[in-house]
Amino acid sequence: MQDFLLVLLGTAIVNNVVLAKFLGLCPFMGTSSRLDTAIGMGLATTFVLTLSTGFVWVAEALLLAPLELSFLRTMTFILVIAAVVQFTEMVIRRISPPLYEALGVYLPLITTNCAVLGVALLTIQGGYGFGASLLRGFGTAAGFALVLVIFAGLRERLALADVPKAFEGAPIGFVTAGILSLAFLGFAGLGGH
Amino acid sequence: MNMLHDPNDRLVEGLARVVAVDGSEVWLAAEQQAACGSCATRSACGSGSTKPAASWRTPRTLGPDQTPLALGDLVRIGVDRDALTRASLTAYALPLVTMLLATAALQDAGDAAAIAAALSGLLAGVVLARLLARRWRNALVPLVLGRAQASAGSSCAAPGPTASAAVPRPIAVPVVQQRSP
Repeated sequence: MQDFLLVLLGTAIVNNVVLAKFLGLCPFMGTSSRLDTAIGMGLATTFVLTLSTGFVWVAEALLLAPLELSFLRTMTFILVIAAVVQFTEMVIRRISPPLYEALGVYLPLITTNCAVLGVALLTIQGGYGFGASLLRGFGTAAGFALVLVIFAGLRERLALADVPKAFEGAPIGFVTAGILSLAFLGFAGLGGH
Repeated sequence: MNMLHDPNDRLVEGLARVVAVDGSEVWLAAEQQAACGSCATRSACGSGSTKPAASWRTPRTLGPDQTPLALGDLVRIGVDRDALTRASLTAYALPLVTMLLATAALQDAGDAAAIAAALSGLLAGVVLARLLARRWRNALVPLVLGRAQASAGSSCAAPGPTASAAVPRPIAVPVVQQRSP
């Protein structure tokens, strides 16, 4: 149980995918201007990232490694991720059509989220088992959703703040993201992962 | 809790345009079709083009003392914020939780067993989410809140407290969801 929590803490906070590894910055800056959007995007990314880490592990273990096709890893993973996003779209449409109308718009954006491919590649390179890979995928995705929601809350407040003209909009967003990244640096070394 | 949200503001608002008039009813199509706002590279970006616009049927009249909707009118629609969060938690988080729990339970039995457990956990979660989602299907139906201002689309144009006090908030008209074939 302690290992389980340490892996979650290590992937979600200490090695945060956005603020420590600087992956997935595009949706981090693009969809964090409103809290509602950020929650929707965070949940959708968590779902897709965890699922794609599992499918990518299966593709690597059953197909690429036995056939010695590891040089096709990047291409295969992109295909698997695109398929997982399509699958998720279908599932959400079946589960709740009104929800798909309201939040389905973020799903195609996830295909081009470099964090999803980056996490899949890094997890496979780590050589973990299936369960551990899935847990790492989930922890990383939860970290992504967490900072997205934190940053969206900050930006909603910034919208009302008296910011100098030259810093309005994206510049103050980048400055805030930098300070947030420094704050997360404080977790470095925690848990030993 | 986010202090910037008015506690009474329970709706996530969006814009919809009247695309057809059919007797006493009109068809509304959602205006925003991309997750991001529009940008300079919009024509080369595929994020908004893969999904057809949502469309709904609604009565033409907004209230006894208001002019009925006409073709091309822009209206504000709203979806319940809590219902949306609850539904997205059900649809995304529930299958994930069941999948992770099933995998954790069979992790020591080997990778093949863990994969089988993850797949069955995911399937069970999706079925459970579908059953739960049926219960609040009606809560996610959008409401028509009224005609949008000409300059709506920018959040700066939202009417302040004085303006909303002067113009009475129109009665929310329920929208009938069009099921795609």
